[in-house]
Amino acid sequence: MAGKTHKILFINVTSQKQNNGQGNYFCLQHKQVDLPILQREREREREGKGEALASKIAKNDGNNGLSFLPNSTILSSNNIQNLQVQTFCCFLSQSFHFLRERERERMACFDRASPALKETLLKIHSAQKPTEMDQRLFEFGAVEYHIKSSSSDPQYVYLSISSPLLSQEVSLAQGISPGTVQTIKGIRSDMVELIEPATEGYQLTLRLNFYKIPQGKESSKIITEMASIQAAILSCQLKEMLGNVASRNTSPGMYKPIKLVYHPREPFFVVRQPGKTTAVFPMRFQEKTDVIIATAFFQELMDVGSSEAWTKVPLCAWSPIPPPELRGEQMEDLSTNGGFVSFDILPHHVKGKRLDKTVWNLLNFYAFVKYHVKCTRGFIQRRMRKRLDNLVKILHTAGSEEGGYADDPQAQVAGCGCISSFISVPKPNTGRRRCRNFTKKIKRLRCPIKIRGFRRFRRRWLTVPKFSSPFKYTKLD
Amino acid sequence: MANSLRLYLTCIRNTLEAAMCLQNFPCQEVERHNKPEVELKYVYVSMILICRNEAEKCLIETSINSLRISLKVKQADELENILTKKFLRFLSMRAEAFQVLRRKPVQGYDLSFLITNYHCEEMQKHKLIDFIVQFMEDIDKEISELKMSVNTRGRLVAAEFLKQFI
Repeated sequence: MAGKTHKILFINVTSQKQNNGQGNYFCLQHKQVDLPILQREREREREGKGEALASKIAKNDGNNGLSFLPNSTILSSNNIQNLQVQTFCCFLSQSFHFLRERERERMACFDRASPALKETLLKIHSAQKPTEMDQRLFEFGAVEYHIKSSSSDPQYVYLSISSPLLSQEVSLAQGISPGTVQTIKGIRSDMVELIEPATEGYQLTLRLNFYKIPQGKESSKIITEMASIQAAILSCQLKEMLGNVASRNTSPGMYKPIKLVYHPREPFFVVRQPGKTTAVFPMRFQEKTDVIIATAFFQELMDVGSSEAWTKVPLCAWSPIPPPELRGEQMEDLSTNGGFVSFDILPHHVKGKRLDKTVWNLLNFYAFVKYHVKCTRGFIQRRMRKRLDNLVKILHTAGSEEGGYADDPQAQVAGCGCISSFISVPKPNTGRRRCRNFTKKIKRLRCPIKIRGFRRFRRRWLTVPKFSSPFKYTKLD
Repeated sequence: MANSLRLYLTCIRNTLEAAMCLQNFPCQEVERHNKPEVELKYVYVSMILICRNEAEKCLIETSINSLRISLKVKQADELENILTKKFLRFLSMRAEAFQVLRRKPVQGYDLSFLITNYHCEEMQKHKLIDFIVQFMEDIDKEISELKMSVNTRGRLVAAEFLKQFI
């Protein structure tokens, strides 16, 4: 039987020949074994080139979380004769796909550091000679960075940031809130200094002291923190709002919803209520397919969030109509095709380190959903292609094989329900084929005595004539 | 297999066995042309409609040298609807790989096959019928599996998202 937990996949491999009830077991950790590796190993094992996958993994990884019981065997088509195991292999490969793509989705959406800024700062830090640089970087969401370094003053690099503020209630003239300034000052205070006033056209200018950054692996970590400053600015405002939930200083009654814009044209609302804060996301998609895939995802999100194992996470709800908290808002903000997703943030969700995680997750919810929809579409496309390949492969295999496989059960590929061969060569062609084989054999006959010129003589006088069938007809176009 | 599905497929199989008696027939309008008569609008073709329920049906149109089979696949909800449309459109666009598949389905149906007398000469008739019946079964199965995969995937992704709050 196959079972699955978060990170360990357990598979029972049985063979038809073994009737003594003993099974072969082997245990995989998903991070160690990747689907393409598994497929390559299968092919190698089929060709008899590679050693057993199980023993190879054991050698490479030692005792790093992998365990193998005796009689472990490779999952290859040569060893597997049980239809049930082939089904498990399909399930396994699908699970690997899901797990791998899950990790990819998680990493893509929750990366706080700006990759372009990080790369530029790393380049400056690792440069052997002091370089003159005056570079502007633009990012999605109207974020602009200005990096300036001079060869006369190689110790310092000036970084200016322009980012649209999260809430529309705070006017641009006020600039960044004092809480945000305090947070920025707290990031590596010995290496990062806030310059006031900021460079013209930017909200924030920082002076980075690169001489204080240690060499080695630590430098990458520090530069990543510096590249995440824009994420810190955005998170601060929402943190202040959610932080009030924990402080219990709110007066009873519902407050007016606060409209926040992180992604352009995709605002979301934060509503402060006694004892909790509700974040409401109006979802909009361009295509109907995206709407349906996202709706299925929201249903699953609600199901998972309301289960007993997930009581610690914020309660999630989806509705096709605007929730009562948003009554009175503008029509353009409430007209959606993907419904409304709400998260109830309670005080224990914003305690300590969880506040940062909660804020970042809420800010990136739109990006997460859009990425999931895109990956799902790609998954559907890949699966369709694979199915088509399976159908066409059977078709072509049946058509190219001689004699046809009309009633041969081995021609049917089990496990995926593929269509059995249906093309068989018509009867007159078998005679032609036998004649062809016979002529090939004659041609291959090698005379032990070599006579000069005999080859030409044989080609001219000793070739077998081609017979044309009197019943053959040509199609008229 | 459900009883109603078995009866439905058996009915289609029997009808195809009776209808798939095709012979060469040159075009009566244009000299030296040979066209599938079932595709011509001015030619009278006999039609048989086999319905499993309101959502699933099969239309078989026969003529002297060609046979057209149009299928309407069941779509229980919106997700199955888009998956069916996507998958069948995907197959139709690659119809040359299947030889007997029509590029554009008949109006009102999801998928169409066009079998001519040449196909019957190259292939065995009973195997062709087996292929079509098996194809219908496989399409249903594939759509169900796709839907399950999408829902499973959504569940896993939702769990991953919520895990970030812990």
